[in-house]
Amino acid sequence: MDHNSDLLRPSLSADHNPSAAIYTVRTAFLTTFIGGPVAGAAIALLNSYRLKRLAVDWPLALIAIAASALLAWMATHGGWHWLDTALGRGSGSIGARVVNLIFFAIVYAFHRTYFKSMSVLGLAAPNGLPVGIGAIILGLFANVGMMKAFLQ
Amino acid sequence: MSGPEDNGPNLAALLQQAHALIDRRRYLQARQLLATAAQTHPDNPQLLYLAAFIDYSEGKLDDAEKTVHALLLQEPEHYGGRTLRAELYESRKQWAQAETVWIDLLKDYPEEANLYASYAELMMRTLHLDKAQRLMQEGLRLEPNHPQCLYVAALIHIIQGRSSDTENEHLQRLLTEYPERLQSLMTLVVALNQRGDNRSALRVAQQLLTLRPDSPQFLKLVKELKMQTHWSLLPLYPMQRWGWGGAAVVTVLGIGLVHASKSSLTSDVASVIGYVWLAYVVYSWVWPQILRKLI
Repeated sequence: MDHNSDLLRPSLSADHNPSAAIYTVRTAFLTTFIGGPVAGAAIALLNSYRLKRLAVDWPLALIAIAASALLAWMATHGGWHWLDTALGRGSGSIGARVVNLIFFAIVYAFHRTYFKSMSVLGLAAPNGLPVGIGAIILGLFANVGMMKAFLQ
Repeated sequence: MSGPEDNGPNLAALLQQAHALIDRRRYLQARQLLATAAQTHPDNPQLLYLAAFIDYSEGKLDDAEKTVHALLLQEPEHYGGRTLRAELYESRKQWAQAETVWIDLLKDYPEEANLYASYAELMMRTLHLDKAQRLMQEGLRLEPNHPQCLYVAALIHIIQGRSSDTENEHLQRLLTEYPERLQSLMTLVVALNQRGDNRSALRVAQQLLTLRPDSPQFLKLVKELKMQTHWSLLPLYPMQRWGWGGAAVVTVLGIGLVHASKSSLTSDVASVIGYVWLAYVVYSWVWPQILRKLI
C-alpha cells in the first residue's frame, strides 16, 4: 500500500513547467565545442533545471570552472608546449578543443538517458539557438576573464 | 420495426456495431450510426463516449472535449470518459492535469494494468523515467503480458540500454504476443534505429505504412529513414552509427589532420586538405537538411 501511495504521488505541477523536453545534444555539443566548459555547463545546468535535477547535477559547475581554469592556465603558462612540439605551432587550440569535447562527454554522461529519451520518444526540443549563443558568449567571457586573472 | 420497449437491446446492438466500426477505423459510418442511435437515446453516456472517442481519434480535440465534458457532467465516474479526458489533456500537453486524472482513476481502480501503463507512458514522456519504470512494473505484475506495459518496458529498455546487443526481453514478448499490433512494429523500428540498423528499420517502417497508408506519422517515419539510408550520407557513417561520440572523434581527427598537414606537408597540399575538411564540415551540416526536404 505504501508502495502504491508513493507511486500515486503527483510528480508534475501545473504552475511549474514540467520537464517535458530539454535542449538537444546538438545544442550541448556545439555550445561546449565553441564556447568551452563554462558555456557547456550553462546549457547542461539549464537542462538540469528543466529536469529538476540541479541538486544532483551541481558538480558540473565545479568541473566546468576547473576545466576552464586549467585551459586558461595552459594557455598563459606554456602548458601546450609539448603539443606544439608534437604537432607544430599553435596546437594549443586543438588541445583546448579536446578538453571541450571531454567536458561534453561528461555532460552527456550526466544526461544520457534524457537525451536518449528525447530521441527515442521523438520529443520536440526547445529552440536552442538563442540560449546557445548566450551560453557561448558567457563561456568566452569566462575564458578571457580567467586568462586575464592568470596573467596578473 | 422495433417499438420503444425494444430500445435496450437495439441500443446494445448498435453500440456493438459502432465499436466494430471504430475498431476498423470506419469513423464516418460509426458516426452515422451513433447519430441514428442518439435520436432515440440523446443522453446515453456510452453514445456520448463513442462520439467523443471518434472526435479524439480524428484530431477534433475541441469537439471531443465538449462531449467528454457533457458526458462527465451526466456521469462523473464514467471510466471511458475519464480516460479520454486524460488523453485529451495529454494531447494538449497539459501534463499535470492529465496526471491528476490518471492518479484519481488509479485510486478508484488500483488493479487496472491499463491505467498503470497509461500513467507510465505519461511519466516517460515527461522524462520521469524511474517512476515510469516502477509504474510499468506494477502494471506487469498485475497483467504480465499487458501490451501497453510491454511497450513502455521495451522503450525504457532501449533508452537505458548501454549496449546494442543486450536482449530486450519485453520487446521480444511484445512481438511474440502481439505481432499484429502497430505499436509492436513501431517499437521494433525504434529499437533498430537506435541500434544503427536503419535499413532494417526502414523495411519495418514501410510495412507499417502499407498497413496504415493514411498515417502521416508513418509516412514521415519512412521518409526520415529513407533519408538516413541514402547513399549520399555514407561519408557521415561514423555520426550515424555512433552518434555524437562519432562526431566528436571525427572532429578531433579532422582538426588534427588539417593542423598536422600545415607543418608536415607543402602549403598547396595543406590548403587542399584544409578545403576538403571545410567542405566536409559544411556538407555534414547542410546536406542532410536539404536531402530531408528532397525526399
